[in-house]
Amino acid sequence: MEKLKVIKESLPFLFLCAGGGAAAGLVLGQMEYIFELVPGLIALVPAMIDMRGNIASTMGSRLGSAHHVGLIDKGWRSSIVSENIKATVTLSLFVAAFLPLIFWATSLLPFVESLASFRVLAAIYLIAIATGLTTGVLLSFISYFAVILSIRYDLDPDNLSGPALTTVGDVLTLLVLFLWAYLIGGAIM
Amino acid sequence: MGLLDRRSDNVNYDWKDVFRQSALLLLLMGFIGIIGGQVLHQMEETLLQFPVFLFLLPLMNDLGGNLGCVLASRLGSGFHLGIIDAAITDRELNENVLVTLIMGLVTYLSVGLAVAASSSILPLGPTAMNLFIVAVGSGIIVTVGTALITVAVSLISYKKKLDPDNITIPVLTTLADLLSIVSIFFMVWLVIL
Repeated sequence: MEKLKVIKESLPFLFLCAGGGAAAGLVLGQMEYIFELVPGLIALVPAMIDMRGNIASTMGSRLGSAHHVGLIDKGWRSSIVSENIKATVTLSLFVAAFLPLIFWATSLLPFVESLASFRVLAAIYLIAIATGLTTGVLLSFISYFAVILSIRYDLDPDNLSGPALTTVGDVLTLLVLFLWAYLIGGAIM
Repeated sequence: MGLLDRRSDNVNYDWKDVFRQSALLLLLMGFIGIIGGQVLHQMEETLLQFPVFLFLLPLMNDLGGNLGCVLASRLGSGFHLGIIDAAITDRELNENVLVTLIMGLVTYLSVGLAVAASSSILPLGPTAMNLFIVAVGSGIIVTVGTALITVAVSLISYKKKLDPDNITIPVLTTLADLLSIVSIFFMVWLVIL
């Protein structure tokens, strides 16, 4: 068993990703203006980031398994890749459509501050859908390249794609969310 | 059902299978995440009195989730290849868990040192020694907990004929988040309060 290979490949990456996490924190720190514009949006951010990381890293994990059973080398033409991209984009949209509803439902709980107005809810909903679609498409391609690149450099995608995709997913989701919140929030609020 | 029912010679990931296995699970995990976020949000005032907590939380969350993702991904591939048996006694499985624990220990020892070193710059409150103990202690709890959760969810989903590649990561990242909140609280209470 290639214990040393796992440690050699994963460990530097885990440190790198801790740095990426700090970068995500910095981006979040810059978003204060947006959160004042669309009150309540900040409570949805952790769940959205988590979901994006989950959807991307499960795709990385599936492609990793496909590589190990010898099926990924066919590249773009492979139906495994296109089916995985379809699954990732559909799941991103599905989650983006329902997460704000769950969020709204939890805001009715007694110990939670309720949302200000229908207009705020509509803004949050549109921002979530737009962010879900954009990051779903971007992250499915990034997942594919993360796996292809690790294979090309003779690294085991299982050791790298998880940490890489959750970290890239965090930063990318925040940036895209920031952009859409600025555009949609600016137009509606 | 993904790769598991068919042998590797005619594997086909149908996006509808992936969607069916993942969609509701993701929403359920999202629900748990949102509740967790709302609870933290309500505790904001209390938490602001403990900057250590806010400083450590994202780090612990990310690292715990990442360690679990690597293990989950490796177990998933191992099951698909047939080199790991879905049994708690499997040697390959246990070696993978051991590697995860070693990596967790090394990572959190380094994080602990970094946090202790930064205490002279950042106004975190407690002494460098206490910060180190809190970071490493909660890190060990998170690593062991995450490894156990990953193995349990992978084995259960495999036995239920679901693809662990679809199931394990969402469950473990959500539970690792909750675990890191609880373990940092526990260590702060134990060491500092």
